Amino acid sequence: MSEDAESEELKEKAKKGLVYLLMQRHSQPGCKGWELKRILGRNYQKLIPLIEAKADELGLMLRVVPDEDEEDVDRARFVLVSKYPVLDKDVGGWLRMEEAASLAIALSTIYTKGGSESKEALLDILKEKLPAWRSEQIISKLIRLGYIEEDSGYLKVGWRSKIEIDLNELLTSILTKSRE
Amino acid sequence: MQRSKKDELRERVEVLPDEVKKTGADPFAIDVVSILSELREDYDKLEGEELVKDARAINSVSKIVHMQDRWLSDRLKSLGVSQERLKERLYRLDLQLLASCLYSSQHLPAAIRHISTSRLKIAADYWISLTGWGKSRKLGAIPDIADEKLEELNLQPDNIERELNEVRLDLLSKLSKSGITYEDYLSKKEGKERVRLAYIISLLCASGEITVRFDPSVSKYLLVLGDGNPDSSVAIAI
Repeated sequence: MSEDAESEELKEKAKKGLVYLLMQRHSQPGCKGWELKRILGRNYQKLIPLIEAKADELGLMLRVVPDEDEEDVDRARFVLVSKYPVLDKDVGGWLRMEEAASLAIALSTIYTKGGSESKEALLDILKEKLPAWRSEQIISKLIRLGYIEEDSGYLKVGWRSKIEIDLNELLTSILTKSRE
Repeated sequence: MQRSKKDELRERVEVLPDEVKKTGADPFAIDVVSILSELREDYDKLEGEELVKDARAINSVSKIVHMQDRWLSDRLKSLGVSQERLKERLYRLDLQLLASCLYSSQHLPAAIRHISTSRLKIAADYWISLTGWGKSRKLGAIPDIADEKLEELNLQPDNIERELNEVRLDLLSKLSKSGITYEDYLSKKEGKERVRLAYIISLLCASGEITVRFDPSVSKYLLVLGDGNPDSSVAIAI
């Protein structure tokens, strides 16, 4: 196969991969590495930079979230996300103001505690800003939506936060934000 | 006696990674070298099931080493962030500013939802079976309501929040056991109270906590637990 034909074939495969990533088939966005392998072939990882370049043209970026602690890329979740935060409140997701604020507190607290924090301790922090019943309601909702995960009374970062939230941006924002 | 102590050690070592993960403890608090030397002491005498236990313990030790590696890299990344300052900022910022911090770091997933042709065919067959092509259901005339029957609903934010929470807790406890028809749930109230209840249910549907599904087998609407995603449109039926 000539070099041009090979390059053309790779570009076509990258487009196919991009379309596959955009089409939501499950309740969770994106797809697993093994699904991309099935569609694009065993060397699908080599196509990732090309898919990223195509996504970039659309204002999107590809985020790869490992499955639990696994290093296996085939089991990782590949998701296209907006390159820039979507600040328009009509498009900006499904979290209400106090829920988004609680998630910001939860994620930064879990981060400072090295990856997990007890549910009780986190609720104590939230109760300083919200009524007790509302704090518990919000934590339950954030767990149900996959933003945080609960394991025997301890909370850690959930799959959805790993996809959607840029922790560095969040921490920087918390440390520098002021009312204009 | 000596043997059982070693067995116990292997069992304890096996669960260590889960414990560290759960509690977020410092993995360097575990002395990997001393565990390995203890495990090595009677390795030559192990047989059958004991060897399996030993292999599990060694596997757990390797997981701890991996956790130490990750812990170290995470700590290095966080060196630039003062934890005390972060705590103080969390305390000082109001909810609106904290929410704005989250929104400005949130990158929403991009996905196109679609309906497959096979699903469309199932839906079309269903509607054809209900009414047949060309026969539309008639809604019927809107009943006249005398002016004296019209009442105003007094909806105050505080009351609504309280009622919303009461209905929410009641529904969540009922729906966790079994489904409940919308009609039956509304039937416990009359008049103005019935309208209030329907309005509160619509708010819960709009928040995604519960939703309404039509059950064609009994031709009734069922209240079911939502998946967290708000319903795109909500109508009130009384």
